[in-house]
Amino acid sequence: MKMFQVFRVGAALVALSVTASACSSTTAPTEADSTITPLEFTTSTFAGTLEAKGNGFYSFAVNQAGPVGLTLAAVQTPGGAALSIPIGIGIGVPSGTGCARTTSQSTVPGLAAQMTVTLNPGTYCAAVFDTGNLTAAVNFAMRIRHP
Amino acid sequence: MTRVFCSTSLIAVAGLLAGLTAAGCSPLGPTTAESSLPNAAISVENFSGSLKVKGVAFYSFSVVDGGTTYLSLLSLKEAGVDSDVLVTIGLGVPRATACVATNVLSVKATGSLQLTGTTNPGVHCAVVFDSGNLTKDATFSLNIARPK
Repeated sequence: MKMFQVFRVGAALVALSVTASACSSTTAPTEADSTITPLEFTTSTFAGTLEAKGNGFYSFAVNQAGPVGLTLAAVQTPGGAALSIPIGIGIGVPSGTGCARTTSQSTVPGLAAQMTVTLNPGTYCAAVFDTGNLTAAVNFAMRIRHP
Repeated sequence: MTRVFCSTSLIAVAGLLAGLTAAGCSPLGPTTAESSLPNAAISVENFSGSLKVKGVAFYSFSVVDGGTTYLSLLSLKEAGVDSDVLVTIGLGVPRATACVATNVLSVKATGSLQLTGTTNPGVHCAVVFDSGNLTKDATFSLNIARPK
């Protein structure tokens, strides 16, 4: 009988020990664990001349998954006069001799990003293209902000 | 009983080895000769275009499986006539409005495998440029054999 009681106590201790070790393996996250690495952004400027019915693109690398913003900042005549003609902007992947756009829209120049998409790490391209509104070449400037 | 089990196991192992060998596999390595292009799956893209004197042209392509990419300059014509001058071909990554080449070689249009480079999964580019040998604007044809 005593032997049986000793066995029961021993079994209880083993169970307690197992429970304690299980608890220690599921400790609450420490402060270091919960730290989120902030995204670091790079801004590139893609400026050039867009011919009537033409297009151009600029390749860039996204190093961390996150939002990529395109801002068509300016469209001007070759002489420097500001224009508010809508032109196409887009984001895609460099392919062949161009940029295979996955997202695009027509927009006029502005101060805020006209297009924002979330991208995974990789190589992408920002494109500008004439949607049919240009009758002559224009100069443009686009900001590309990406992680 | 044990002997029967051992015999059965030996037969099974022998059968497995025979099957692997027949499939060109062996625990010691491949038993069949490697092809000249070691990538399991190859895609060939042709990049043809114009190259101005001291000009540059590039072509972007995506690789899903890493492996080796091969470039072959198939033809080069200056003002429509076959040319044997050296132009530079290269492999790199598209950045800004160019192809930033990490591996370049000056070649003539021979059609043989001329430049090889390791291409990891991602977007890469092949570039052709004139480093000063062209005297007239040219046209070219370049084959890009790459992993799928």
